[in-house]
Amino acid sequence: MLLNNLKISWRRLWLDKTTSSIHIFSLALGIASCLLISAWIFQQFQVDSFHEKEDRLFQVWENQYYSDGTILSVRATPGPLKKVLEEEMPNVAKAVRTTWEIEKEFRKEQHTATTYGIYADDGFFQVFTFPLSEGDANTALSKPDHIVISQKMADQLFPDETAVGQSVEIINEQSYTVTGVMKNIPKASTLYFDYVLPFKKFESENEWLLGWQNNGPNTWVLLKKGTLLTDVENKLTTLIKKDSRQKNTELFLQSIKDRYLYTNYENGQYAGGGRIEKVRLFGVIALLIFLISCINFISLTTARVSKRAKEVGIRKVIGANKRALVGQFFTEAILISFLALLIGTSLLLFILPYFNTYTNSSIVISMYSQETWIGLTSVFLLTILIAGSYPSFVLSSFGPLTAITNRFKQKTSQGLLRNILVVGQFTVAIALIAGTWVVFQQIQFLQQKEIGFNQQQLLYIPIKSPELAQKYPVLKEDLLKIPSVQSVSACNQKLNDIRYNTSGITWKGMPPEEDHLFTTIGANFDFVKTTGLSLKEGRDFSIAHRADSMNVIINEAAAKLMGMDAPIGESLYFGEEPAQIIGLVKDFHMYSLKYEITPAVLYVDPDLSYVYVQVATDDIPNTLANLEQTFNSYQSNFPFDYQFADEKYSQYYQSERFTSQIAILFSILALLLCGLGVLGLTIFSLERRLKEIGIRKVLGASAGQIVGLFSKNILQMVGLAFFIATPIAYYFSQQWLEDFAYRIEITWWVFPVVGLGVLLFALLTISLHSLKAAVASPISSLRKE
Amino acid sequence: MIQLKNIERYYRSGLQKSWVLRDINLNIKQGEFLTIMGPSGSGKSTLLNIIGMLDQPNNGEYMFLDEPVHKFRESRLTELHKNYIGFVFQAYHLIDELTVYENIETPLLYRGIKSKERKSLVADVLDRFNIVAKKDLFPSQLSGGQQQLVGVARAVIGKPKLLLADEPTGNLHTSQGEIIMDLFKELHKDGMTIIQVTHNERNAQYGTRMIGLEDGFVRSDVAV
Ligand SMILES: Nc1ncnc2c1ncn2[C@@H]1O[C@H](COP(=O)(O)OP(=O)(O)OP(=O)(O)O)[C@@H](O)[C@H]1O
Ligand SMILES: [Mg+2]
Repeated sequence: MLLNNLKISWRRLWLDKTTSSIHIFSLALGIASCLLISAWIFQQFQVDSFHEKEDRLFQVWENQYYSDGTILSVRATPGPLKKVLEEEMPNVAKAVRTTWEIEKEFRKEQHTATTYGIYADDGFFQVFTFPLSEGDANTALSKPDHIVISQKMADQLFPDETAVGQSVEIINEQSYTVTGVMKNIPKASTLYFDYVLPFKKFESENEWLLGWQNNGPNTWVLLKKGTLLTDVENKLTTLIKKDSRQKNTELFLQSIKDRYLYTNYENGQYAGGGRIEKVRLFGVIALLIFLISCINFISLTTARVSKRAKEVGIRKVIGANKRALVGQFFTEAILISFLALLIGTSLLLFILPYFNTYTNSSIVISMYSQETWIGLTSVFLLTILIAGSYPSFVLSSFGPLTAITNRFKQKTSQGLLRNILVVGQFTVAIALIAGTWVVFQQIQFLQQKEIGFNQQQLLYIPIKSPELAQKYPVLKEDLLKIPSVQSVSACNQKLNDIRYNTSGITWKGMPPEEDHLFTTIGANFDFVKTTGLSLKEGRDFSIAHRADSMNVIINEAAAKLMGMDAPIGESLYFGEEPAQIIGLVKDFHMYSLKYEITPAVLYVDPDLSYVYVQVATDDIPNTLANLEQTFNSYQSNFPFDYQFADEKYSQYYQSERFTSQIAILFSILALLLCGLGVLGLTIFSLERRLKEIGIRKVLGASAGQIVGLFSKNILQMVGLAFFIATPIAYYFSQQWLEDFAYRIEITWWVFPVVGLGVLLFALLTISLHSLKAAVASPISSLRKE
Repeated sequence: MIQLKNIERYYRSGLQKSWVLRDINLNIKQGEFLTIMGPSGSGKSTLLNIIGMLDQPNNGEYMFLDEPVHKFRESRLTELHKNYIGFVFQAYHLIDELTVYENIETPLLYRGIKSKERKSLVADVLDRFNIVAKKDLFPSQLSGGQQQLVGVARAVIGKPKLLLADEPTGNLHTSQGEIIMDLFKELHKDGMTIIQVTHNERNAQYGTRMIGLEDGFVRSDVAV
């Protein structure tokens, strides 16, 4: 029976090649996009899931309460917390501190390596699953001069020998003994590092870590088995407030499993969203695309019902019951789904590398992994279910007589259902395209927005050697000798990636019970000039003014906060230290445009991290070469690095660009699928109405009138889809935009333009095909009947 | 074998009932070869379809092999129909996508007959109907007469007790029609009960009994 069904299904596919290919190709597209997004989603959920103790492994977060009502959630914790956690919390099996990633330069004889790594407490390798291929995980970090390096680093530094037991030098620091080589960190890890040094060492060099008042390292806890999270969290806050260790703060735990996807905290609460939001969004879109492709299948199948009704009738007369017929139609659906799966998967594998390049992602689909097969099977089954069930149901429900005696009339309810499905398809397409357009406009806006300083020509060059910081004034002189260098300054951070802030600033007339968070920027002479900030009043920091080390420049937001109309000459206080305001700059964006501009104070900081260079744009490569030469003469041990400010800025919107790329891709797909659907339906109704067309032409209808005959219906459907899609697209685009503190207004005309565009596309699809029939000689079509 | 009592069939068009069959009473015994004749639109096909369980009467009782068909639900009807009744149509109604062989084989598939037995049954019928050479052709490659041969072959392959034929020779030339009728005669001789609808007096002569239908009433009932 099955074999027989298969044979017939196959023959039917061959007999009607156009319809079959539309069927299969639509489904293949749907399947490919479904699989692609599934793979991406799967990858997102895989992140950090390789830690064996992930169920008990948590990161400590701190909520910081400010008197103006803001609550900041940070991962930086006080240094002494680890010890207290282990001593005072019986549920904590182990606590471990880690630093942020720090770049260091390594040397072993003639081999060198420059890479990022962390300092971590002793239990690090017991808590996290970063297996060592050599060395003992239990003792690897037990002494201050131990170091664990990655396989990659071991290969670089010790190409032909075992690394463990050997010593390696960190340039400008000291030598360490390699006590372990760890396997390279998996891609799916949010922690990334090539070396691990003992935290003890870091602590001995950074005394501020010993106090409760400063937050710095991340703290991780491994809970004992069977511990309730709420039990621990309740005790945590008591713990931090005890003996006024910290006052206005609260601690809470985040599972390492949530670290990647759920990190959107606002006002001390998990605010929903984060990466998971995008995962959901893409999931829904992929599902919609998949549904559209299944709809094509369903509507084309039901459209052809009259063609197949006779067969169904005959089969019933010669003894088929409903089950047998349903079996037959499912076999057909299975065959088509299988071919679609085959084509869809091949298509996906073919497209994947391009997709990865285009979206800058690294999705891997391995045919050897169990997950791939689970995914393929579920998509396959889902396709069969959706594509097979409705047609089988409709087709097998005819009475045998109606079908055979040509009294068969398409039930209006099916026609209606088909119309609803088509309207649904176009609704999705229009909403997607309009939404994509809004996303695209916002990204344009982000990229073109005046952010308040000159990003295009501003270079950040990291200062790597401590000596260089001392020689900065001489370096500056040398740099200014390069012709295309227009101005030079320095700073403790990147101007569009400001990380430092303080609540320790006061001013005269500030209510004593308040505290406010100020962004602090440790700048240098000629800072305003070099960055191209816009000075509203006052002047830049200048070497000519010796007192500038005690002076500050503020932004408008700070002036507003402090209620100063004419701030120049006024003072503010760092703790007790007074500082005079000598300049007021217009507000500028110090972070991604997702965030509001905050009050900022710029001061002259002797602690330099980056040299800022304003260059002329004419000959960048040459300028860079000159800069490199100059820097190398000061810090020859370190490779020359630089970043253009606008590069940093555009990194902020990588995720948004990814969203827009995916959205564009899916919009095209949705449109294509709608086109295929319309094409299929047109071909079918042409077939059915061939005679009618012939008669109309004999009666004198023009080609245009004939095409119009077929277009009327689609006009109505796209029109309806437009009215449904517009509010939906508007709502979701607005939701998306709300992530940005600075955003575009949605322009009303986007929607009608998209609606018209889609309509035009549909009409074009129809006319391409119906025109052929419209201009053909009427006699031929009449004779065929 | 078949008892029809007060069978009525009508269609509603708007408020009006348009009658097709009125008060049909009919007994048909096993082994009869019954011919139904009458003008176009008199309800012949409707009656045949009711007997073949493809259509249900609005009123009346229908006993088939002593079973009250009028009380059965669809699945049961399908079972009865499948096991006891073969159908031949004027327009042949073969499945276009299947070969001759497959067309004949299909009813056996629906009866769940094993592959080996199927093969031998189909081979027998092909042989008997003299269409072995045509077995791999598709319906569109056959003449009308040949198609109807296949139609009859398909109807009888399951050895039904009752064969129903609605103008089986209506689309055929006289000589082709004769072949079909000779076949019917043979099947009848082997014990099959046959009911045919025809406009053709000559075809009626093959049967053993003839009823005349007019405006939905049985007007005559004679032995041939
Ligand atoms: N589904 C239906 N709806 C409405 N009227 C119907 C339907 N089926 C049959 N009829 C009507 O019932 C009447 C009898 O039809 P039937 O097909 O039984 O006639 P017939 O005797 O077989 O005619 P012919 O010799 O032309 O085949 C006809 O008038 C027909 O129009
Ligand atoms: Mg008839």
